Amino acid sequence: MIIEGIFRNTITRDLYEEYSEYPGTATMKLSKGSDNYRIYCKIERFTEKDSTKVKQIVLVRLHHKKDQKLSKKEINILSSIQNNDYEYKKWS
Amino acid sequence: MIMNTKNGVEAFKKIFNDGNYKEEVEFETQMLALSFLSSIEKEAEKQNVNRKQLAKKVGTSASYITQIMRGNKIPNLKILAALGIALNIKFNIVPVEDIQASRRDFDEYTSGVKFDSSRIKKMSFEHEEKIRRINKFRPLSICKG
Repeated sequence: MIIEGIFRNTITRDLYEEYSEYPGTATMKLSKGSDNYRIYCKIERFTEKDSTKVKQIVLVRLHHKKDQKLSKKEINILSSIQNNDYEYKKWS
Repeated sequence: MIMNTKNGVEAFKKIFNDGNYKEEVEFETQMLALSFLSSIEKEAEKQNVNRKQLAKKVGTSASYITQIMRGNKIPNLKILAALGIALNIKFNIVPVEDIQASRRDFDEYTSGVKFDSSRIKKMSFEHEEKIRRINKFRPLSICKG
């Protein structure tokens, strides 16, 4: 549902959020409350030769978030996502 | 693995959707609700209306708003209408294909590249009508009036 919502550009912030403080990162919120599981993602935007705008989302890490605010651990995850480069292979 | 969004979504659907009709209906219901709710969320942000204030205007609780925003509950049309009234916006439901076709026409018309000028006179009324319709629409299945 989250993937489709992003694709249709109809996602709410309760399900998916891009971090403005950590550009190029986002989180998919799988559940809330005591089982606050999230998938931290790397977001890359580029324009293809035929002017098609592409938003690439890499699902990097599943994490159990325990606090409302970002903890040191979560900040570290986001920073490493920002700094890491990923090698992509064509989908066939 | 790299995939563009469209075939990526298709691939995900293939993996997770076993073709169960009930599940498909459930999924599309949630997507439809999300279409409304993402517009509501954006508009509330624009108007600086927080969830508590919005809930109060609609006559429900903030936690209920959160539940529907998360897709845990499906809002009924009355709630959607109430949210629209609270934020002073109206919605139309139109088939996605209609909007896509209108957008293609609009792009063609405004780009001036593919558009044959000799057709302008003949088609101007039709296009003006389309542009009027497009201006009413938001680019997705749910359109703000």
